[in-house]
Amino acid sequence: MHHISLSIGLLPTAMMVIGFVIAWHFYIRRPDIPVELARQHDFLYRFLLNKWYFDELYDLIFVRPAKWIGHELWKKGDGWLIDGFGPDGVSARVLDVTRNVVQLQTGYLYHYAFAMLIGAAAFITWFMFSAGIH
Amino acid sequence: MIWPVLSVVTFLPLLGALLIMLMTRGNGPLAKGTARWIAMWTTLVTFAISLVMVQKFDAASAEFQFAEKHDWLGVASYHMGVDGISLPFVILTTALMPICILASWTSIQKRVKEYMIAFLVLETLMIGTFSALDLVLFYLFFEGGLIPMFLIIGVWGGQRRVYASFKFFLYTLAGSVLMLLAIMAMYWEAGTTDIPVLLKHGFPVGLQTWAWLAFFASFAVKMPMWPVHTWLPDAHVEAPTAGSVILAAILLKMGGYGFLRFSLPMFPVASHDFTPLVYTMSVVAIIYTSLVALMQEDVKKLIAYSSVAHMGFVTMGIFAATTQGVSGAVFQMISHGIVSGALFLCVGVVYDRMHTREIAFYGGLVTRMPLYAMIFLVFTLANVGLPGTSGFVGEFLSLIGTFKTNIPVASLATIGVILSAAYALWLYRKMIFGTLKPALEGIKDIGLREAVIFAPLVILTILFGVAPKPVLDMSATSIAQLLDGYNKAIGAKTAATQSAPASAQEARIIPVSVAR
Repeated sequence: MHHISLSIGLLPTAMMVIGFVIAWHFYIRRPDIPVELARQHDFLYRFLLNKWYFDELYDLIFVRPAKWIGHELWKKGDGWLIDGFGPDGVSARVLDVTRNVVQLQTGYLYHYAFAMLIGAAAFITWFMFSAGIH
Repeated sequence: MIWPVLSVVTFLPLLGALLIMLMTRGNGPLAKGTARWIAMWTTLVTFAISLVMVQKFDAASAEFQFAEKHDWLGVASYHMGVDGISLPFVILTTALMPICILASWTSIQKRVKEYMIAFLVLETLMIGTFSALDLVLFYLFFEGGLIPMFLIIGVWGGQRRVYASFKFFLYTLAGSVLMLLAIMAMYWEAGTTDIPVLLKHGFPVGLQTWAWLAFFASFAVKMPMWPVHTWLPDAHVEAPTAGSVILAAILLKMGGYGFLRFSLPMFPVASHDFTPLVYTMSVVAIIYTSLVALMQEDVKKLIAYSSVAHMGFVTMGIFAATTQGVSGAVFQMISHGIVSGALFLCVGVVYDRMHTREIAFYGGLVTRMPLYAMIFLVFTLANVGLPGTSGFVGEFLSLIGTFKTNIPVASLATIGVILSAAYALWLYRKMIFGTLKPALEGIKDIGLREAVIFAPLVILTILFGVAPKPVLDMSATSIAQLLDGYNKAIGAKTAATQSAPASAQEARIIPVSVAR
């Protein structure tokens, strides 16, 4: 073990005794002194009373941002981005497409005949051109 | 083995379902009682028989045990067997089923017969998934499990059950279709769908890459990994309590099991190449979903998001491909099966009484339900990963295993540990402590039936937290063999790229450089 000088060794005890005397003086013998001190040094008193405002600081630095990010990720990330462009978006587009396709069903025979004719013409054109290339 | 114990365990629940179908008529009190008791005894006997497997299992061997093989489709055969990686999951399934039946005893009053049949069929399919030794058979069980779960959510679910069940079904099916394509490619490459043969086959690097991606699409959705996790909160919220338990405890584990059974051993080079991708997705999942869990207003949604975060640890541990990482992942899956299942049961207890899952509705429950508060505390702390609970062991091992290969990833993942404490303890404070809400004045503490449900789960959570050896020992040899094969394949690949510059052309096909 390292050698510790006697004065250092006694220091904790001395500090305890001084603290004990001050506490006794402030809170038992003259309880009006702390009240007066708090009144005179209002700012310092509130700073110490609120533990250096560490709780508020943590709230500002960690808690609030975490809550805000969590809420944004939930509503915007999961809700808007992933679901909106993923499953919900895909199913909505499928519905859009089918709704439009349904409108093609007019029930008029000549509409269908016309569509068939266009299709046949397009197919023959494509066939002739591709046959020409090869 | 004189009698095929594995097939008996797998198909006994199906027999029970058949029995319910034949012996009950209508939905009267008698029919309900019969259905419940048949389901209860079937699951209990199945569990008892599965314990025979534990007793006879040789943990020193990495071979597939209790194997059975019969010709079936020509292409595929009926080949079943378990090793140290799959047996824990089989036992988890059989152990949780009686608890689920008991948890639905009074809360399910509508179509009781069909409900019990759905659960028993689901049990067969889940056990089959974990013990199938043929790709086609595996696919059949894996996909078949979707149907009873789809019905359980869609018929006995909450208000938005139709949306949730369709989302669940389509999401998971979309991923699995790609897996089916990969299975076909593997068949044409190897000429068989027999898993033990495929494990030794050694696929060419090109096929490995895209087959890995196809399997990944399926397992990542099932897991679920970020960003394909959004079906899970919806499915959990709408599912009945027992459905949530099965979903969280067993269905999610199929993804992790798939990685261990297929991705890592069959496509080692691709697994190694894609490790950065998996790491990124895992870390994002852990932090992202933990933050989202923090802000949830629905208890079940909060636990669902916390499940996604915990599965992030599992994928991270698996792809770390170290002994600690993989055994940590297996342990974490078993532990999460017990803990998250229990948490959903805890939610079920208050939901049965108050019919709401809104966190803000509850408060001060400790004054009326002290026993419940204590049980909930055990599982909350296990979910956080407090040392002495099973949650700690898995999380700690998978973190250690990852730390060995990638320190930044492990460091970021530990943020998730802090966040999990934040959301879990906050939930506990809001629901259990504080002033008692007037609406909760008459709420009753848990009864005998609920105590019977929770007792084994509390015991296992603490037992596995203090003595995790039974689970770790069971899987140790199989994991050692898995990693041995993996490291050999990576070593051979690295040696080939270093020694022969001519193979540079081949190396260009692989997107991510393996030289690290």
